Amino acid sequence: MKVKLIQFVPLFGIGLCLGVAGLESITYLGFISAHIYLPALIFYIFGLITLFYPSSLGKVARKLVSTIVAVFASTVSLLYFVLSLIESFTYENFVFTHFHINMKGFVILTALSILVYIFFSSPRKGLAKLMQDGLYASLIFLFIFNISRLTPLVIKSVMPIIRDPGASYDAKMTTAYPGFYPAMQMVARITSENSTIIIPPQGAPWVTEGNNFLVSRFLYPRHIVHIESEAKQTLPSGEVYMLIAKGSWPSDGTYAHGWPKISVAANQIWKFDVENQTYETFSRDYDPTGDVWDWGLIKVQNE
Amino acid sequence: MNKILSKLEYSSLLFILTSGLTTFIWFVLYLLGFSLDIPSLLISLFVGIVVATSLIKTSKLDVVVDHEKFKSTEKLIIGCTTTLILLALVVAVYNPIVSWDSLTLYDFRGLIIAQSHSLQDISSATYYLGYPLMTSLVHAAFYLVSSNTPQIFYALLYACLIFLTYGRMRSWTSRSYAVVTSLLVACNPFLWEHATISYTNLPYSIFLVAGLLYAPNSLLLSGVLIGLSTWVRMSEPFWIVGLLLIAYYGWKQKKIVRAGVGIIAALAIRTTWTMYLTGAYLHAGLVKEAAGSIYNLAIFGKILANFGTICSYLWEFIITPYFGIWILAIFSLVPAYIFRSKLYLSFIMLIAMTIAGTAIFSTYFVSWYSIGGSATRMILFIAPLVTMIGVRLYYLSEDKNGK
Repeated sequence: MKVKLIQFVPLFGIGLCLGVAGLESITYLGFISAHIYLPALIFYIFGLITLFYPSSLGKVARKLVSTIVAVFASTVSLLYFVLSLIESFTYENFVFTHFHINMKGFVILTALSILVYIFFSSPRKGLAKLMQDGLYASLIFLFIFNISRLTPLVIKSVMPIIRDPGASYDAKMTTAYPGFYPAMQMVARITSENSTIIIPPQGAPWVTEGNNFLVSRFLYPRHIVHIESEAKQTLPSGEVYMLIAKGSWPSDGTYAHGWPKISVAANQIWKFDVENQTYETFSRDYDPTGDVWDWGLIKVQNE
Repeated sequence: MNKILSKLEYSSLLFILTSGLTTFIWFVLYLLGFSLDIPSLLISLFVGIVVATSLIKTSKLDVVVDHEKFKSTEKLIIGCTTTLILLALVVAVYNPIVSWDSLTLYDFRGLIIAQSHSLQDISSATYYLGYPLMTSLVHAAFYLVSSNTPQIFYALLYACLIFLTYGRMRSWTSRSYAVVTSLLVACNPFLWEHATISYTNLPYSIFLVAGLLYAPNSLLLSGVLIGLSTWVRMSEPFWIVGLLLIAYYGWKQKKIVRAGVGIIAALAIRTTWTMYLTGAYLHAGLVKEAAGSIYNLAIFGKILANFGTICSYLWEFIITPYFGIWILAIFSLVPAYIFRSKLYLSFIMLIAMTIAGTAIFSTYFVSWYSIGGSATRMILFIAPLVTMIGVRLYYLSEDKNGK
């Protein structure tokens, strides 16, 4: 039997599709366009189109290739599922750092391997059948894609329930907002509902404790304010408190940790121990050089 | 089980309509001088149930009741779907509200409303009026009846979405396809995640998608659902697509008056909130100077200058998170054309709006690139919509080509 080169067009298509996707999986998205000046998408489309060329491969050869592609697609899909799990339980780019597999490229390889398998293994009967195969392959991929992302999400959500099913509201809030939530609870216990609480400026390192909407959530109906300038001491009237907050976020260079940064004339100051929900009190002014505390409160002497 | 499944769509539709209408009527009662307390809540609930029931009864819902026994694979799939719903319910009840936007806005407004029985305290800051009150009023209702678990509402909505998916797919395809589609929707990670946190994106998506799905059945029902989507989130322009679809079916079914009523119902819901908002802003002196027309050449210039960044934003926040959905959408294109899918056309319009909106947004919001997560949440509706479109088109293709 005479072997014609054209018989191998679908094989070339498979090789092109999966080869380019595989290469971008172990390098980076855009690797192909950076080196060959043609986007990878062109190769994918071209490769998929060649699959529809009516191949005259023998039955046995066709079956063999189909089986190889099926094994490849299953392996890649399973690997994608496992790698997604690993990535979500470690950190972003963990997989790339340790296995040199770029997940954004690998998901394309997974989709293509399923598409290639369905297209190659299904007998072709015109455009309508072709589109039906495309939909079928997309639905299979959608399921794999969803499950790979849903599984770690569900496990992460359910694990705390299994570990501590009877956790109190306060314990759960403290886990979500360590330091900040217990500090707000202590402020709420010390201050009256009609008082005014001055909080640090909004931004690093006080992204949480400087956000008046977030602080209001825990201290409502107390009035939460920022003061325009610390130096001017333009304090509101009435019962006024000032939050002492080191800052629970990294500094971006604009402000260093620790607030307030100026001396404040005070009736009383509280040093919080948020771990044990206790505090020490001092009847003196606040001194920013000595009172370097993570959390505390100042009752401002404003009259 | 067949009987239960056939009733789930009706119950789910009743639940989502009642939740939307009750909160809206409660708000209207407040505008008429009532307090936001338990008596006015009960009146609203009663009226909400009556209106929702009437709307569903007058709609021609083509509910299919099966009589054949379930196959073991169908039972397995239903088991998996039910497990996901139950897990979402457990997680939603166990977890306190911790997501930032919910703590500071949606849930906080509910807490204030439950304590003060009015909207006075939240009308003083533009931040608190940034979104309509639907979900906050649901939270307020929970707090008024001394329940501290408003988050369960979102898990119930997720369950409703899955039941609506089953109901619609059952009437469009076969039971097996309906069961598989329900699982595909249930296992979407974004939908599941939103079932366990109290953000507005899930309720919004459900109202919008339901509004689009029921347009061929009932123009009024569809109009109310689209209107209620704007009662959850108002800034997105997607409701326009819903109204266009209602107008199209009104014209096609020669029910111009009904389509008109549906459109008016949607606009009435939307306008009630916008009028209140304008009044509140004027009263609090919070009206800002108009930013100027967006239809000028400078904007187009900026968009062209930002083109590369906009494309990368769309890839990272719109395409990558829903990669599976997009692949399905691409392969649905030709079948959608062959079968003249109006839903797919709606999807195209919604995406065109998303792209145009992103491009315009990039020209005036300085830190637009850093809040890409909100764009991912904004298009949550594509997950159920495209999944249903894809499976339906596959079913139609199979029917046409032979199995």
